Amino acid sequence: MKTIIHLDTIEKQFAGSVVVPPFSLSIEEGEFLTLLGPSGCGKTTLLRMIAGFEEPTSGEIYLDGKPLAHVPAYQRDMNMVFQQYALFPHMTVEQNILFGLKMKKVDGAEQKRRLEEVLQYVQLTELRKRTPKQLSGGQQQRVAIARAIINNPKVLLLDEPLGALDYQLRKSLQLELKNLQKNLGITFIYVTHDQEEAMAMSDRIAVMNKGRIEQIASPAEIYNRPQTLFVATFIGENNIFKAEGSCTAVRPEKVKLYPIDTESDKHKKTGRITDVVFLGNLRKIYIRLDGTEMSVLAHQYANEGFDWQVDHQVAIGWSQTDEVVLSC
Amino acid sequence: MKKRNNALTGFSWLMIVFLYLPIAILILYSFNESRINAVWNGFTWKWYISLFENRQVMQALTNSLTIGLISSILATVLGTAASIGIKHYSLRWRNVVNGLIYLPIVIPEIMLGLALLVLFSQMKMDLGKATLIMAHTTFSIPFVMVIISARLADMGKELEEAAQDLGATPWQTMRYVILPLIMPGIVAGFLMAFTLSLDDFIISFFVAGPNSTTLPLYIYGLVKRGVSPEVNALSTLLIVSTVLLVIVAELFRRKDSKTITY
Repeated sequence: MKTIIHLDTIEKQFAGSVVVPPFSLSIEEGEFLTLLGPSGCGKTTLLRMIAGFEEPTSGEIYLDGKPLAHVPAYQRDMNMVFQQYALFPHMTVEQNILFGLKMKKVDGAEQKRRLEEVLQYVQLTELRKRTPKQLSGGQQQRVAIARAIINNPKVLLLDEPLGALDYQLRKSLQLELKNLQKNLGITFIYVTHDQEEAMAMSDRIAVMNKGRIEQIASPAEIYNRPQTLFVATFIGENNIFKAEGSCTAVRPEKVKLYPIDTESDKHKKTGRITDVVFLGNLRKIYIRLDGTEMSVLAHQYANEGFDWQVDHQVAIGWSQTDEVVLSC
Repeated sequence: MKKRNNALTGFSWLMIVFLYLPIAILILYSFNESRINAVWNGFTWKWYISLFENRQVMQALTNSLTIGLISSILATVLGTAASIGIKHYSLRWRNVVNGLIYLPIVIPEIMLGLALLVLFSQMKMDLGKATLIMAHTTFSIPFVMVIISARLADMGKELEEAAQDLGATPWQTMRYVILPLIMPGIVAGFLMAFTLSLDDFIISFFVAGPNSTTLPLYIYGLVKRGVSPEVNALSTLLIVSTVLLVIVAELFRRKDSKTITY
């Protein structure tokens, strides 16, 4: 694999305050990399620096080995899918999609060939003469993607492209986007605050917090082996047990519940059930540990164990291998 | 059904009458057969016909249209460029600059007229059409900018960024994205500037010279010799064309906001 984008000790300050502290990152060709984090964590700023809409305060960005510092946004060989799509309201679907090729004065026959190909690809052939206003949210999103990929960019930047859509549509478009990325072989840099989305699509996830990249790894590693307390609590649900100098994280699905009177020697802790939340395939059980103010969350899947009720006394246990030790 | 507040309704009507009665009477008497304003003698078009046969009136009309057209084109071009410029440069003194630009809207016209007169005489310029055009351009620019800046603010910056992202140079972005999107605002601004120029009296009074009499100045000259039905007719024509222009400008300004909300 070769590196397509390299960030070399990039830093961004706004009016003297540091938004993104210096860091380096390499993104590989054909990779689906997600920048994941809560709002205000600097992920969009990072994306906009790569696109060329913001200038890094210091450091250098390389695209395919070439430094981008003095390359304006319109000369960078990458395209962006905007959060609100930013389709041109005074142009039809077709004109929107062709815009990039027109600006670069691509030859007419070539424009036409690529237009047909892309229209077919995103299934917009029938809607080509409509204006953005006459399209649904999902259709607008497809125009935004078509408008970007027709330029054959080296990298596609996506800024929460599914954020404005409803849940069902988002689910199906996640898969579509992932397939699109695989088929085109383009590098995707995808910004989202939705961890499910990040998990479902990414090759690697960079979890960001306060401008810093906390961890960058595959979805499975991020979930199973979080390196920082922030990652452990931000991704999925976690139980954090604090001891002097370190914390131990245990996923709720790894927490086993036992009746209080059996196998008593195995039990680490006991407690009282304070809440049971039924979610169909899953029940979330909240337990207040005896003698502390601490609450533990356990996930129980259907047909597993007992029919736990509020106020039951339970014993709690988990396997040593499911513990993740973090410094905190 | 909402219960109507009769007192409020009555008051509203009273306000309307208060505002429009003088104009309505002026229009009514422009069709009066009698030369004396106070007596209604029957309907006639003859004052309008005599207007169009009056060489001086026609000259004033030509002056007004020429000055209006040139000054509003200049104001629109300069105002559009300035609005776009101010939006793009995050000037440190942006609010101050904005304030300075909009200040002429509230400055008493007589001050502006006097100031321009002083300026022109300092520069040893002969008063005439040229000075009128410059003066009208000056006071129209803030109005054009108010309309176009509102338009630009609605547009946000995402569309411009999208254009750049797709490879459009700053000029291409201007040509294919910004200008088409603010065009309704530009047209509305132009019509507004034209209307302002056509109607202006006070500033024109200071900076006009021989052979550059505009319609409002001509009307003022006539009134000094008493209010004649011709004056009524001429004023009526001015009012009607102003109202039409403002309506068209408003239509463009609104078309504006409709195409942009998507």
